[in-house]
Amino acid sequence: MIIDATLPPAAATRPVVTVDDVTVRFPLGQKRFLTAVDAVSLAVTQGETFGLIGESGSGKSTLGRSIVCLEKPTTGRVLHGEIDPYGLKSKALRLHRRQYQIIFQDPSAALDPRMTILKSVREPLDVLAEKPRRERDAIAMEMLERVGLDGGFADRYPHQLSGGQKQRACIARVLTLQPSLIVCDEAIAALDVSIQADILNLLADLQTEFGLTYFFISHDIGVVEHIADTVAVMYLGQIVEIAPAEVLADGYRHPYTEALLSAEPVALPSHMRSDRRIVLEGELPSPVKPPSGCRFRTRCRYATERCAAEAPPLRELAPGHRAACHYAETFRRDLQPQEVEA
Amino acid sequence: MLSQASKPGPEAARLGAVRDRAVAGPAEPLLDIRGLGISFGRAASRTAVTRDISFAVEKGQCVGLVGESGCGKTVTGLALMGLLPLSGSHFDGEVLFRGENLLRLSERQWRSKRGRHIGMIFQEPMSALDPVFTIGEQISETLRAHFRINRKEARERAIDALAKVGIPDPSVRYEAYPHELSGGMRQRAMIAMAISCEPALLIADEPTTALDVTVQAQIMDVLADLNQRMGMAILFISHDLGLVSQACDRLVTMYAGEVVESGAIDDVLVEPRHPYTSGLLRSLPTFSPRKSRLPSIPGRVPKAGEFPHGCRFESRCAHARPRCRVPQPIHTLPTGAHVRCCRHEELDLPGVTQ
Amino acid sequence: MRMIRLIGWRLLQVVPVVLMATVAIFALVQMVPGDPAAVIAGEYATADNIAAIRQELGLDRPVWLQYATWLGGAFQGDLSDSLITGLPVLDEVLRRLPNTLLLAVLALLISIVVGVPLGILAATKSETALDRAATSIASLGVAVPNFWLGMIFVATLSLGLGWFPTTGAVPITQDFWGALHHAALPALTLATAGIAEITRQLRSAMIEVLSSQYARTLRAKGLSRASILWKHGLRNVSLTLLTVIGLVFNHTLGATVATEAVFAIPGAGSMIVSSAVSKDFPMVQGIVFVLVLIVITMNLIIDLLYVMLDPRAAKK
Repeated sequence: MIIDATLPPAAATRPVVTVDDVTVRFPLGQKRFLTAVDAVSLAVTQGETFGLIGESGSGKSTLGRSIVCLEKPTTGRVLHGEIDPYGLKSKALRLHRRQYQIIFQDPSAALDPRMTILKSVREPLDVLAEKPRRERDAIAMEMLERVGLDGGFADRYPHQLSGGQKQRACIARVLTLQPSLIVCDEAIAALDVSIQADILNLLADLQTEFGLTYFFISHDIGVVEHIADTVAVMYLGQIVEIAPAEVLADGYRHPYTEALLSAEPVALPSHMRSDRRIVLEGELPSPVKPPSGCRFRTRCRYATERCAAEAPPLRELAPGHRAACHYAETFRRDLQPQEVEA
Repeated sequence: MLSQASKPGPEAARLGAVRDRAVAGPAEPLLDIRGLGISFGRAASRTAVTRDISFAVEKGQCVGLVGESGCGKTVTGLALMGLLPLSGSHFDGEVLFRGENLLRLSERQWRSKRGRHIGMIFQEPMSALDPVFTIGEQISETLRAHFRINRKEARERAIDALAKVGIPDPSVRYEAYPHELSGGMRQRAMIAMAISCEPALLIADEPTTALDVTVQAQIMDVLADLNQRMGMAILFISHDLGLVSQACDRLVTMYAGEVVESGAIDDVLVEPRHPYTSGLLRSLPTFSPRKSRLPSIPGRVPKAGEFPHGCRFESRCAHARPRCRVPQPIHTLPTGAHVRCCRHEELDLPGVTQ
Repeated sequence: MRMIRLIGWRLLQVVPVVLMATVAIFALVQMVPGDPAAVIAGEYATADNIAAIRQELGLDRPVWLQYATWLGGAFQGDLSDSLITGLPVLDEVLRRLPNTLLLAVLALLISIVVGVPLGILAATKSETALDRAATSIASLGVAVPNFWLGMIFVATLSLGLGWFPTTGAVPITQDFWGALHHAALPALTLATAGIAEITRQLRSAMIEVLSSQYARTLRAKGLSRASILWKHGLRNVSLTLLTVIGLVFNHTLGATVATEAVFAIPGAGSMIVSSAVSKDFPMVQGIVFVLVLIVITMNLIIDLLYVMLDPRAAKK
């Protein structure tokens, strides 16, 4: 239903992934639940980079995992194209899920310390065992080369590689499966800035070359704005704003997005930095007992009684731009009325 | 905002001048590091981790120490606190704190400095706090280690410290164990502990790296408040240039165990003089058009023990020339800034505005 | 109040454990080869004699019924009678148990008093000659068999030097110091394994604490080494220590079987052996049951102490 609204106007192609009203709940015992993802709907278009921003506890990783069949939604559906992967039998699922891969923050945890890089990269192919060994080796070598780890790296062990090189190896590893979508869960968060830049460049190259779609999860709004086409902002299990990346930075329509943007430390000299700096009060409420109405209201400087009584729906403000705030049109005093219209 | 009140400019130039004349007097910096070299291991197999580190922190100033991981930032911070193992570490140069060389202190003398005159906070507040004592006990204990006060007074002052860093209901939180607090509150408690004795210098080693952005903003506000209202000098160790430019007056860039550049923060951001600083700044996504290729620094930081003989950045530097292959001295610029690059006069390096 | 609720809750959890233990004891005793009736009847008994004895003792009834009868009695404090002497098992157990408990508790105390300082010393001087000496002693203590060590002690300290009596025991109720004097050597024998275990575990736990990030924070606050070690270090390793003490006690109690045999001490341990040999099944069941109750009680106490010591455990 809401799917069409999220499509960037230019690329009205089929979504690779449709998340339809997905809720993920974890039982805590004694009839209590932690609702990590709460009725989230979104669509990821073929070939785009979909950025998901949120802080710890926002449910962004759980959502990412549910997209690659690692976390079954409690209610709602995840569709890969037209297919419901959670409805597949185990064998069919195994063949299917190779198209939907994930890379994590800590590449060391994803590589077996006793395996050579080549073996680690080849491993997914070994598991599938569809091709002869020689061919699997060739594919693995090719992918290693493709991510910039040529020649000598194949026979090394993870501990001989730097963090950035290990993450490259992880990328090569998922590439061997020829995925159509890769979820990057804080994939560059642990790396130094200049290495981050390297990996971001690599991801962009691979996207062009293989027509990949990325679901890019990060806490770093600057990084997401740079590489994403569409950006969604998550707070306490819900999407509070979703917009084309070029719109979000100046055209945000949710107070939480505003706070995130303002909290991002930008390396600018004092005279060039904006005075608008909002420091959120308090802490993230418990996802076990979220606030009534709008979940952000307890920390929102614009909150009114209405926000406690009535949960704001995620509504469309412009093509491809939705926000869940009763005052989305009016809370920004820095904008002129005509800007709000546009 | 931390930066507004004490933004340097002329002040920074003054600092440089003081340092160059190397006179001790009323303008003597709080912390003056002169040619600090740290090496580990016993004589024959000794590995130098840092070499010729020189910079100063003036009273009430906030100085940012940046660089990629493995550049020697943390080791430098630990050395300033005397927290490196005495056996197995070797130090060159001097670290003058109020004119006294810290490197000459015995363990006993160190104890009266640490926590009392120099405080330190760490990256991971969860693992940096003792899990089986309440945060209140941990703060009181610090106070009682340095002042002759009874438990009740210590408790009152600990509660004061908790209030000072913005912990709500400080007398209730006094009784809380670290695991009962959120990450942000834990880091506040950690700061309260480090400042309880009102040290003149606070060393903050990546204090917000483990925290979320909005919580990070809160913690940075606490630090800014300490810096401005209490006049506490801060040495802010971070890999995040954004945070440093927001919080600090001066910037010191370290690369492979050396200081390669130091100067007033606004000057360095706009006009970095060392290719490494410039490279770090340019690789931030904020300064490149959306979806464009990010300028990155090829290669990686050499490991300690594998440092090249000449310029340590040479192999990764786009501006390298044959003459870079000789050891690089540090140059002092007319502004009082420092740069360790033989081409600094001819290079026009991009900063954040270009 | 919360503590009382917790104790109540833990006691409730103990019930199924005790039940399972009785089933296990009963089943194991049933599996021991040999027929007590045949033993009682003697070598020249006819099959009819044996059958009569079986019937008299109720051994011909189904096993589960025997179990139920025994369990019913046990809950009323009646562990039935010895097949050999015909006396109540409980009386016999209570008569011998103090000797065993004295031995176990004394051994535990020696283990703690020697093991704790040794472990801490090894940790603070880690990677020095002293540490290596302490760890070597510890590994030796684990490796050396108890009974052999016992015999060496007897040969040297009592037969050779005459410092301790070689065998036997004096009831503690009659002569306190005499009881200790008699128990000292066997307790020392028993304690070697405990000392070794406590030293090893405490050493590694303390090294972990001292190299932790919070120990670095404590140094950064200007605390002295002594205060870091004895205040923070000890409180942090106390949890490990508690766990190890529990294990050592259980182990020591088990090891009394061999030690009592070596030193000819009329305790519960040696009684298991002699009863098992003479197929006095009710006696074996009774002793093991009481020992299991002691172990469970000890574990319960350790659990509760754990909750009191560890603020993080209190929540769960």
